[in-house]
Parts: sequence; structure tokens; C-alpha cells
Amino acid sequence: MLEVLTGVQTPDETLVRSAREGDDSAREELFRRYRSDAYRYAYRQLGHEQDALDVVQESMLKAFSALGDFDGRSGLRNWLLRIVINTAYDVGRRRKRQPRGHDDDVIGREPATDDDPARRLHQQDLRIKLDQALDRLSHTIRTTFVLFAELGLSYKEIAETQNVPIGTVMSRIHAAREKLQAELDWDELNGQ
Amino acid sequence: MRCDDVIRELAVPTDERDSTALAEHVAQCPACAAWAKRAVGLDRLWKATRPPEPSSEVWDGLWTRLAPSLDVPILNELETVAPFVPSQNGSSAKSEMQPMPPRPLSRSRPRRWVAIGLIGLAQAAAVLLAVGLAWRGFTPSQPTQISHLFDSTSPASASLLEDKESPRLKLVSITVPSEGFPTVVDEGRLVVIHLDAKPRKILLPIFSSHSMFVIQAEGQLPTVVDLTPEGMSFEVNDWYLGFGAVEELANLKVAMKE
Repeated sequence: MLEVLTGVQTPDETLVRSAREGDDSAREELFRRYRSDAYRYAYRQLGHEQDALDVVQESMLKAFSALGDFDGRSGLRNWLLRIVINTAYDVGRRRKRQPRGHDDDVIGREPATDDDPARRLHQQDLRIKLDQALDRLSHTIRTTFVLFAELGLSYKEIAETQNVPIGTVMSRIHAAREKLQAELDWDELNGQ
Repeated sequence: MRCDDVIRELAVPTDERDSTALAEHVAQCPACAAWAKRAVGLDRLWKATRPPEPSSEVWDGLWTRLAPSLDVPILNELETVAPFVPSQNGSSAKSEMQPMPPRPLSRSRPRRWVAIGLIGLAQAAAVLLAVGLAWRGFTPSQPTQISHLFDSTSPASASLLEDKESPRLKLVSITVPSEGFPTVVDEGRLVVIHLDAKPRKILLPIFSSHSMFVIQAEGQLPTVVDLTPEGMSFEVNDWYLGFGAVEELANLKVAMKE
């Protein structure tokens, strides 16, 4: 409520303290703050909206249950992302055993992307091609690239999230780009 | 600028980039220009395929479902909360959700999995890692039984090795005698299955805890190594990462069937 009046966002640390004490509004605010990051990451890893929502749900459940263990060293976002990364990996493994097709408008979305069916079809086609190329990356490299390209994390933030040196992060992004650019059929994509 | 530097800068931009020199090089070098064109294409493709943001109704529905569960202990909760399934119109009403049967996450769940698998370990990777270990100068301490890695009935044994220079860096050498196959394991257990007749070594790098595991399988028959750690970690799950690393290195293939 104070945020509305002052326009200043309550720091994560304050919300975490309140959430640990069982404050529902603090929990909801943390959920609201990080749900999109979790969803976008999971979606890029799994290529499926429903699976991505499952990841958000599981991750948030784990995160709130383990909030007492959060020591604040790495920042809440990085800590949460680590949980999301693990959960998405786990869900992905389960999905390999029970595969789903690509999305076909399963859940409610923001209206802007739904208006034009032809555009949606085209977008879906592009997504399948990109997902196929992403599938050829190793999990580690794909994770790094998604954190960079989708969530816009800095090299330093990715290094903290993945617990590797910044140089390793840069090498992985380089490798991901090389491979994705080589795998994609540019003539076909440009013709679309 | 050299082509390598240009491509590196295009792939992984840094603050130190000299944009003018970069542009001049790209303008004169067809190979780098083609690379830059593909990089722009990838960026456009990425933007064009951005995940559609769920509607506020979907988010509200998810939170409505999640919030009441947050004060329940995690292991119970993971077994009882169904995955979130919004209705077609994204309604948040709980009654309109279509809960699927809950998916168990805990290893304590009595459901059993029959694990069948094949492993083709990349010999070169193992040799390379073994050399790396030798180079690091690991020396075995007094063998210590790591009982929690195994079921009480497991014939496998483990000994702890420590790096003198870096006490936090540890190795666990696990020896697994031959066992029958197929083996039934609990869902959620992390296992490495060998079908290879030759003794193999697999190294599991455990990143955040600065430790490393060596699994040494011996014998002529397929063996199963149970690596499931006790408890659950909510930080970086080293086991997932380590297992993923081994899978990539060793071309490991594990299939599980309910």
C-alpha cells in the first residue's frame, strides 16, 4: 500500500522478512514480481505454456517453503532463478517421458498476441524452428543463453546464478550463438 | 580488428567495444558481415517468438491455488497440490480449474519405477577427467563409508578422498560390484546404470558445493549406482547439474518407465 502512495518499490529484503512471518500480501508481491521471469525462462526451456505455468507453481512453492534458508548473499532474483532452473529441468525430464506437443492456445493470454490467427500461426512456426535449434544445445549452454537473451541478465548476474566465472558465461553465450546461427535455416526463415 | 575479435564482440558484446572499428571491419569483411547478418536474424527471431504473457486472470488463478498451500510443509505439499491448469478462458475461479492428478515429486512416494537404461560412456571424456583429477593431486584419506548414498541393502561401498590443498574439494570414490538387472528403484532416485562389461569411471562434478564424485563400476554385469542424496536442496541442485553434465559427457541414456 505504501508503494502506491510513495511510488517507491518495497525492497525484496523487506518483503522476504514479512513473507517469512507469514504475511500473505508480501508473498503475493514477491510472486507478482518474479512470476514473469520464471514463466519466460521455463517457457523457453520447455516450449509449452502449461509446462511453464507448472514450473512457476512448483518453483514458487519451493521458494516460499525454503524462504527461511535464503541468506541474501546472492540476491533474491538469482536465488529464485536457481530454483526455477532446477524445477524446469525436472519438469523437462518428466516431459521427456510423457511428451506434449507444441502449444496450441491452451491458456489465456494477453489479448494483443491473439488477435491475428495468421500471425499466430506464423509465430508458432518460427517458434518451433527456434525450439528445434535450442534443443540441440546442451542444457547448460541453453540455460545460460536463455538467462541472457530472454531475461536480459548481465554476464555477472548469470555467473552468480550459475555459480561460474564470467568468462565461462561469455564462452557459453558465444557457443550458443554460433550453434543456433549454424542450425537455423536462414533461407527458409527469410522466405517466411 | 581481427575476425575472431569481431565475431566475439558481436556474439558477446562488452563495454570495451570500439563500435567504429567494428563497423569498418564488418563493412570490409564478407565473412564477418554474413556472421553479423545471422546474429541480427537470431535476435529478430528471438524477439518474434517471445513467450506470450499469461493474462492477469491466469496469474490470479495460479496465485489463488498456490497461496493456501504455502504454510504446509513442502514434502506433503508437493504430493498434494495438483499442477495448475487454467480454464480455456483463463478464469481464476478455483472451481473452473481442471486439476490433473498430482504428480509426486518426493522419493518417499511408494510408487515404484522400473529403470531401464543404457550407458555409452565417452571414454575420452573419462580419461580426460581422470587426468584432470590426477593433476589436481587428490590423495585418499582414511576410507570413510558414505552410507547415506546407498540403500542399506546396497552392496556398494564408498570412500572419501580429500584434496590436501583445498579441503573443501572432495571426491567420493564409489565401487559397485555386479548386481542383477533390471533393478527397481524409487521414483525420483538418481541412478546411473551401466550395461557395459568393462570397468568405467564417471565423474560427477558438483559445482556449488565444490565437491566432485567419482563412480567406479566394476564387474561384468549391468550395475546400478544410486546417487540420490538425502533431503532436498532448494539452492542450486547439484545433482541435476552434475547428472546433466555426465549425461552430456557420457552420452548417457536413462529411460524410466512407470
